This record gives sequence, structure tokens and C-alpha cells, in this order.
Amino acid sequence: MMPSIVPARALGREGGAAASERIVLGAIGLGPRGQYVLSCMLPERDVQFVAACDVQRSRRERGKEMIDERNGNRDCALYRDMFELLARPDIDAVLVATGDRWHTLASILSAKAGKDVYSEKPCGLTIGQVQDLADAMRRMGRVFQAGTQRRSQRNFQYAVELARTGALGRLRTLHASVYRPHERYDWLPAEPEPPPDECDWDRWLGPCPWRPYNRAYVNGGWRGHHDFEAGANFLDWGAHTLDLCQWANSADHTTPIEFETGPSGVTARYANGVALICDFLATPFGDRAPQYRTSTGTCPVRFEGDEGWVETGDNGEIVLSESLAKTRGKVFAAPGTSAAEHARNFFDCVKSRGVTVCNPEVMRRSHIASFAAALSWQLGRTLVFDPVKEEFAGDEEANRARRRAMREPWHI
Amino acid sequence: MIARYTLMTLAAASLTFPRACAAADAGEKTLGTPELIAVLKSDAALFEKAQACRQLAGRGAEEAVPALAPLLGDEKLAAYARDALEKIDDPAAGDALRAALGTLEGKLLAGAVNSIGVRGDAQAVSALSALALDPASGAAPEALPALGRIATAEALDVLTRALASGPVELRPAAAEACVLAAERQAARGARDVATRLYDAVRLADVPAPLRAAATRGAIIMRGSAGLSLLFEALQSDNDIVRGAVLGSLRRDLSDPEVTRALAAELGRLRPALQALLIPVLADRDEPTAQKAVETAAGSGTEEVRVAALTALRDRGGAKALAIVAARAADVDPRVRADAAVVLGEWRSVDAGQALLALARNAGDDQDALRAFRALGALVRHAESSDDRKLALAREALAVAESDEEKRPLIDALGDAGDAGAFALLGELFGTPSLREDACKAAVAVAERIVRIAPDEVEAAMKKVMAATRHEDCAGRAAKAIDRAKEEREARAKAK
Repeated sequence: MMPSIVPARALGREGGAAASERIVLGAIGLGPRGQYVLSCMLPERDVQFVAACDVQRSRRERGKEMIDERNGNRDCALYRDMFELLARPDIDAVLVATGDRWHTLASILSAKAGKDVYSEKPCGLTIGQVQDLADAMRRMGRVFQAGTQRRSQRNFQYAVELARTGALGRLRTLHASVYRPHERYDWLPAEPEPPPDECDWDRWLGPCPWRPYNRAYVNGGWRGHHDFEAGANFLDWGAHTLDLCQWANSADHTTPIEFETGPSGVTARYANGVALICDFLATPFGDRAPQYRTSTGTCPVRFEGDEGWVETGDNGEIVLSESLAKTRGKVFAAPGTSAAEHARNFFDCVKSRGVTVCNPEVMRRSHIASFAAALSWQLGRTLVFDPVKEEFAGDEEANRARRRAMREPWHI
Repeated sequence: MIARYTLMTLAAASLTFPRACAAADAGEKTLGTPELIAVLKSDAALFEKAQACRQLAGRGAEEAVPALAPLLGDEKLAAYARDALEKIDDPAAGDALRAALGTLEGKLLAGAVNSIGVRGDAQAVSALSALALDPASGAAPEALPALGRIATAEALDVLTRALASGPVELRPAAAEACVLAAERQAARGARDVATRLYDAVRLADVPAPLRAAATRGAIIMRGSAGLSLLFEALQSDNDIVRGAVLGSLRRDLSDPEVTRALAAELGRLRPALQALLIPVLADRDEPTAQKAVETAAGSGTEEVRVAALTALRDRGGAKALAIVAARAADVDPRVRADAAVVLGEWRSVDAGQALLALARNAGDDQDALRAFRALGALVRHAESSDDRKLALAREALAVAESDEEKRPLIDALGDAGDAGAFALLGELFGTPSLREDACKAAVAVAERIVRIAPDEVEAAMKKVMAATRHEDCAGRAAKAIDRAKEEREARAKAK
């Protein structure tokens, strides 16, 4: 069933929530993305953040400022150590936005502490991590939402519905835009470590293998480094766009079975015959032609069937094939990539104990599809994948790449 | 030295140039396993050894183990070495990790234990048991879950002892390990063993999240035979336990017998719990579940009623719509009010006709206004095409008698993403009491769609400028006209 898109706050039931109905939250990871998602969550009437945690002082203090401003007091507690935050019994749920390397572990530790979790994507660094994460969430019975918020955006929902309801005819090809992958294995030059209260480098590294400190890492320069970023940068958009393709193909329970890398992208094939083409974009934030109409915006997807096609992106524009446009008439534009509706879905499910739109199983399959596509590029060969066993057929190197050891003492 | 040079070249190359394909990096292919082993045995720098481990993790075999094993004691390289050892499917790797248990301490010992757990090494149970039962070993919190992953009979014996009578500070780790072991036993078909493990944890004095996990597992293992435990857990005072079981009902417990029992029990539960169970029942096709939800939609308890009406909305379809529409004409004004709001939240404009009927047949002004507000909400939020939503708005405006009834529709049109809204709003420019509302709404539409429909925006904004008496509104309309012209020029240039 497609999710309802009517937000609770739009229902004429405005007003503050009673304390007993409020969801009390803590934020773990307050870099630019964490601050952005926090800003989307703070206005919700039934939500109260009470704690800000980051291994970098400046970031946790910025988070506290935002929370205190919303709450009208100075009560938000600051934590460098997430275990102290997680030990608080008054906290019901957490926002995890730490950077890829910590998403899985922080989410699982939160679930073990009885918290529900909204985690930014990519939700893990490897296939093994997202498997462990999904298993842990189910085991602990917690509500989990992956931060793939485009599932909650109307234009993407509309496009997916066209694909799922047969309006495009028999589905043939799904196009998912991704960055051209890249990754690096070098270490940046060693610099003196700052005092832990300023930036706790050991905790920043967390489960990743040791390397010397360099300030660039902790200021966003971790991106592109094999040890810190998921799937050679493939998942930055792929976690969204492949997720939408999975949804459009009614494939949330499975993944493609073959991944073939090429110079302009990775072509994957589902067991039902549908092709999934992951298009590498040379200038993802510039001209996205010829694969996509630049006007539809970033993160575009395109679904093609026998009887028509639809394309949309972050600008909200929905472009339909001529035949479809005739029967559908004009459709709305819903620009933006706000996480507010997606967060609302999470909060509603925290209350109802319902299943979020990007629940652990959805996340697991769409992330695995993304990792497998990335791995095909990384290894430079076609990979055959078994979606039931979640392993590659006859390719030990690929199977080994599904997991990485965690630095001691961290474990799942 | 050749190896050293090659690795450094690799680092420099990967630092500077994005690759067309990772495997096309010639630097990686130049080093075979013997060269990588040589790097590990040399006085190479940390970085080079780390990269050698990384490559061995991809393709190393038995012959690499002797070079990797000494790194288990190196604080900076142990994780790199363990990554390779975890992946080398040869007994030698397991031997190396087990041997390290006798020499390592602290975090490094914990790391080796973790890797043994990942490998599921049954030969390590004795050594892990000694660590698990001794808080002073420094690796008990790691050894317990490692035993849970291995989950042999011998490991289970240690875990159940640790849970029942082990050191108090280790009981949470023992409980977690028992849950892990129960999963593995269930996967092997040993449901009785799994049930006993889950029961041991749910009845132990351990933190609520662990009891919740165990309770969930115990109910699933029992299936329909676990109904009494299910109802007991649903009425638990502990939010975490109750929440986990409710979530499990959604995801794991679809047995028709469970559904029928829930439906039968629903009315006897406290309202807050009923409200949580109603969406679960609404998702089930079982007739008794649907009947229970339909009955709840007319409940005198607001919490229950709203939950049922909302669940019907989420289920959607003609049958659910008919039930809610009937409630919107209920004799109880509270039921009527809640049902009207829910009709306004419907996913498609299919609810429009029911709301129009309510508007036409309203017994008093309050009911009528409520219907028009709901129509406004529907026009604003329904996922239907703009053509259908605008048609509904037109019909509703024709039925509305007062300005108060028309305003929710004007507001909704202001959120439209289609130029078709201009015609409807333009018709209201001639009504002085609604003129400014309509002009303001038209400007809002124009600002949103100016890049998509510049011609329509320009035409509509000229009408707004002629109609409005408000300077601010006229100014915004003029700006929209300017942006429409810019858009046209940009399009012309692009051609």
C-alpha cells in the first residue's frame, strides 16, 4: 500500500501536544546535515529535543543553540559520548546523522538502549552493516526510518505510483542518477590531535581502522575516502535514486540479480526483466543532459514502460511522455527535498509503532542494490547476485567486500 | 623496496585522479600476495602495511596468515589485520586468532574476540567461555555475544549460566547473547531451544530493551499458542516492551488466529491500547478485523474513534470510504465532526462527492462549514491530478453560499501547482469581500509555477494588478510578471 501523504499537522488538529504525547529526542551527529534534519524536525508540535551529542564541541554547541531556541530555554544537555545520551531513560528516540562510518553502530546502540531511530543515509558502510542494522531493528522491536526522504516527496511518489499501477504499461527500464564514483585510499598528512573535548578523534574514527588525525577529515573532508564513505560515493545519491527505482518496480523485498559496470554507468537487471540503469553524471549539480532533463533538478529518476515514461527530480517538475500527458493532464510540481514529511512519518510511527516508509527492510534492499552496483564498478566486472542469500555468485572477492572488521573494541 | 614504491605510487595516484573504474587502477594489480606479505614483514611505514592488509582482505589466503598474525598486537594495525583474517576462509586464520587470545590484553583482546565471533569459530568456545565468565578478563562483554553468534550447545550452556548466575554486571551482555543464540537456533529449526532462551531472558532481571527483544521472540516462536503472552505484553506497564510487541504485530504476527483473537479482545482493552491496535487490524483482510474497525469508527471514545477513522483512511478504497462517509452523517455530532475531517484527508478526491453531499445536506451552518473546510483540505492534499482537484474546487465553490464557506477553498487554490487555478480565482475578483483573498491566492500560485507556465502567469497577474487594491499584492504580481518574462527569454536563448 502506498503511504498516506497527508501530514497530521494538516488535519485541522493544530496546537501543542500534551507532555505525555510528546516524543523526546536526542540528536547524535550535528554537522551540516544533522543540523539541517534537526531544523526539519524541531517545528513538529509533538517533538521535543533535549540533548545534543557530537564528538566536535563546535557542532554539539550549535545543535544546543538550535534546540534551546526552539524550546525557549537553556536546558538542552550536551554530550561528547553518545552512551551518556543513550543512558537517559527520558529519551524516546534519536536522530543519527554522524557521517556514514557511524550510522550503523550508533543506530544499533540506540536500539539496544530502547530508542527509536531516524538515521541519515547511507545507513552503513557495507552490505554487512546494513544487514546487521536491519536485523537489529527487527530483533529489538524498534521503529527505524532511513533518511531517504524522497519517498515522502509528492513528485517522486506520483512517478512511482504511475510505474506501480501500470500507467506506464509494462515496466521496462528504470534510470537512477548517481555521481560518477570515486574513492581514495591515501592518508592525509598527520597533524597534532586536538584535545578530546574539542574533537575526540578516537571516537570520531569509531569503528573505522586507525589513521592519523588531519583536520580536513572532521570538516567534511572524509568524503571520498574508502574507510569513511559508503560505496565509492555511489550511495550519496544512489541510496535515494535506487531506492525510488526499487519502489517503482515493487521490488522492496528483493534486489537486482546482475550488475554490469560500464564507462557511463552500471546496468542492473531484476529477475522480472526490468533493467535498472545507474547513470554516472559528470556534473550532477550542473548540466544533467543528455541522460536527464536538467530542469527536473538534482537526484532525477526516470521510469520507462511500454506505454509511456515519467521523469522527475528535486525541482519537483514531473515530465510525462506525450501519450501519458494527454490522458493525465497537467500534474503538480512539488519542489524541494525537505525532510519534514519524512520525519513526520517517523514520528507518527513512533507513536503508533507502525512501519515507516523507509523501514529497515526497505533500507536493507535498496542499500544492498546500491552497494552491489558500486562494487561492480570497484571490481570492474559483472557481478551476479542472489537476493535471497544476499551473496554474489562465484566471486569470492566481491563476497569478501560485503563486510569490514570493526576497529576494537567496537562490535555489533 | 619495489613494493614500497608501488604502494606509494598507488596512494599518490588515487589521491589525484578519479578513476574511470576502480579495477582499472594498474597500481593495485601490480602487487600479488607474495609482495603484500613482503610489505608486512618489512620495515614499511604504517600506511603501506595498512594498504597491504586491505588488499589481502580482498584476496589473501592461508599463506598470508603468518604475516598478519603479529599485527594483532599492533594498536594501529590490528583492525586492518583482523579484517583480512576474518575473511580468509582457512583454519589457519582461526588458529591465529585463537592463539592471540592468550597473548593480547584490553582492546586488542576484545578485537580478536570479536573477529572470532564474526567467524563463528566453534573451536574457540572453551577459550571464549573462560573470558566470558570472568569480569576481570577485560573481554567478557565481547566474549558473550561472540558465544551467542557461535551458538553451539556448549556455548548455550555457558550463556544460560552467565544469565542466571553470572556476575551481575555481565548479565545484560549475557542476555543479548542469548537472544542472538536464540535467533540462530530458530534458523536451524530448533524452535524449542530458541523459546527456552527467549523465556530465560524475558524473565531475567535485565534492561527493558532486552526483555522486549526476548518477549517479541518468545511470542513469535509460540505463534498462535502465544496469545496469552501476547496480551500480557500488550498490557505491560513498560513502554519499551509494549512498543516492541506492537511493532512485531505489524511485522511478524500475521497468523489469522492471532488476528481473530485481537479483534475479539479489542473492545475489552483500555482505549489507548485499542487506538494502537486498530491500525494493525485495519491492515488485515480478515472479516472480523474489518468489522472491529468499522464498529470502532462509531465509538463514543474519541481516541478510539479517531484511530479507526484514520485507519480506514489509510486503508483507502470504496468500502472504507463508504464507512467513513456514513459516519460523517452520524447522529452524534462528535462522530460527524471527526469523520468529516478524515474525509478531507483522503488520499484521492474520491472523497469529494461525500463531502459535497454533506455540504448540501448539512443540518446547520457548523456542519456545512466543516464540510467546506474538509473540501479545502482535500483539494490541497489529495494525490489526484490537478485537473480533478480543480474540478472539485469548482463544484464546491458553486455549492458554497457564504464567504466563510468559500474561503477554505480559496486558500486551497492558493496552494495549487497548476495554472488552471487562475480561472477559478479570477471569477472571484468581482466579489469585493473575497477579491483580496483571491488575488493573494493567485499570486501565490504564480510565484510557484512561474518557471513552468510563464505565459499563463503573466496573463493572470495582469488581471490581479487590475483587481487588487493592495500595494503589496500588486507588487508581488508585478515581480511575477518580470520573472515570467525572464523565463521566456531564457527559453528563447536555450532554443
